[in-house]
Amino acid sequence: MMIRKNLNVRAQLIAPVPTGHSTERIILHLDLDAFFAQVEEVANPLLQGKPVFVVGHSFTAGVVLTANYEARKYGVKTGMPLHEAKRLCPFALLVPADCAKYADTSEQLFAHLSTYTPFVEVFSIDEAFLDLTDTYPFWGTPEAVAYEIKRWVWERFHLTLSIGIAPNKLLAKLASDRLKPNGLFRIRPEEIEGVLKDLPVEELCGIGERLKFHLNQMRIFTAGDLGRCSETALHERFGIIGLVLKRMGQGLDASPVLPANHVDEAKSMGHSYTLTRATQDRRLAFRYLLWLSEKVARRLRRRHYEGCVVHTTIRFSDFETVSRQRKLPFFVDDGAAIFEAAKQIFRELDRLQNPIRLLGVSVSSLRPSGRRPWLFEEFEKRQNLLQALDLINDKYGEFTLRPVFLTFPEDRKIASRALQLFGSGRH
Amino acid sequence: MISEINESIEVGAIFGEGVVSPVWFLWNGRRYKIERVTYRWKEKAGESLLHFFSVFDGKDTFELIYDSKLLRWTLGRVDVE
Repeated sequence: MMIRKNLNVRAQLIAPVPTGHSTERIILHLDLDAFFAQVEEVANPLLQGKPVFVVGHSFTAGVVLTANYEARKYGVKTGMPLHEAKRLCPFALLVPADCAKYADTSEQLFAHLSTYTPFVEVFSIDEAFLDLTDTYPFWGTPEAVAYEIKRWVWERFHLTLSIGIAPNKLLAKLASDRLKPNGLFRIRPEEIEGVLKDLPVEELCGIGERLKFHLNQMRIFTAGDLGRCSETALHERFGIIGLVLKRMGQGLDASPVLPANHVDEAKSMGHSYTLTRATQDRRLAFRYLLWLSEKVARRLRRRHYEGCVVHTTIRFSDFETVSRQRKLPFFVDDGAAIFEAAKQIFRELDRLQNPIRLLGVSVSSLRPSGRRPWLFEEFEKRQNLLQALDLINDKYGEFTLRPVFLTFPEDRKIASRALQLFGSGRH
Repeated sequence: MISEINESIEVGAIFGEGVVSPVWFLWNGRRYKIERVTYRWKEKAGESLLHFFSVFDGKDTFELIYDSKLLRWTLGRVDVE
């Protein structure tokens, strides 16, 4: 059983359980409102006041990455298939996503947030948690910090964001969802019970459709129901996660705000990717598998780890998710070796003709890596090659040099644009 | 409607302390006066650092790109009403 985009389940399990709500931490969660769409509206005044969908490379297929609030009035939601969104709002303007624009904005914002506290945890490209427990008095109140952040973001980018303040991450995230867009909402310890009593259980961060289904089967419909449910019943159904769920229903979450430089002893490293459209194309699936393997390998090498167990996860379009692992006779930090193992597992798990929605690759049983003398010259050469590739990609950006199999159709478009910009010799 | 242009152009800009502000640009024999810079962001492209500007001339929106290594301006795309 998986908890969707959890708030560090492991941390919740190992952290001491607060005895009540008496020791108040001050956690702030901020969420840029309809981020991609808002940036596009600010950048292009011709879009303002009109319904806008930010989409991928295709204007005919795929999903809505973000819809602005004008489009949301028609029932359009993030992640909705484009054809369905167009049916609900046929006159919406479609804008292709410009990731560099959003990433640069995020980077500037997250860098600024560290002026309020060293404890800033980036939760996604448009969300972050801040632990202000020790630093908010410099600004007077937690609300004063929130208004100061809002003012800075508005002056810098002309963007709005919603902020939640609460004694923990779970409740701060819930609070930021309360008044959108451009809201500020605080949940104080004495208000927790009232807030959770009738809250639909799926509104708790981490509870997705499948978990909701299982909880509903146990006649748990609200966070209040979840908090009152017996630990034994939850443990029987969900295992150790059941205990976390119980705490969530009570509004308890002891997980810390982990800054970007936090180095935990890694148990495994992995990446997964949800395809914009489910595919039956196994060659394309292998391409994504290699891309994920390379990403995992880069991360392992950057953190100086190597591992000997490779895991592959496949989610099919009917949301059945299968996962398997393979122990290798040697430790690896090379994308090609990880890919070979991931590909073999993929073939064992694959249900032919069934469209694939998500792929994941991870490596576990890690140990610190180090330069070791190689018995065979070819291994030594391979290590030297990887080191050289890392140096180049560090300097010029991820995947500047990559296996040729990793050329996606959209890359050809980018390459052609780059040629026009820099290399055509026309200028 | 958004059109990809990607043409090298001449731009008049003010270089302040760490801030570049395009003021006008020449394209297709016409001089466009920039009413306001609506958004700015940066992106690495190989050795170059590209500075992107969304600019509005009061009627249409343009994307200008300044390559700080090659000292070259490009008109990336145009969105005309």
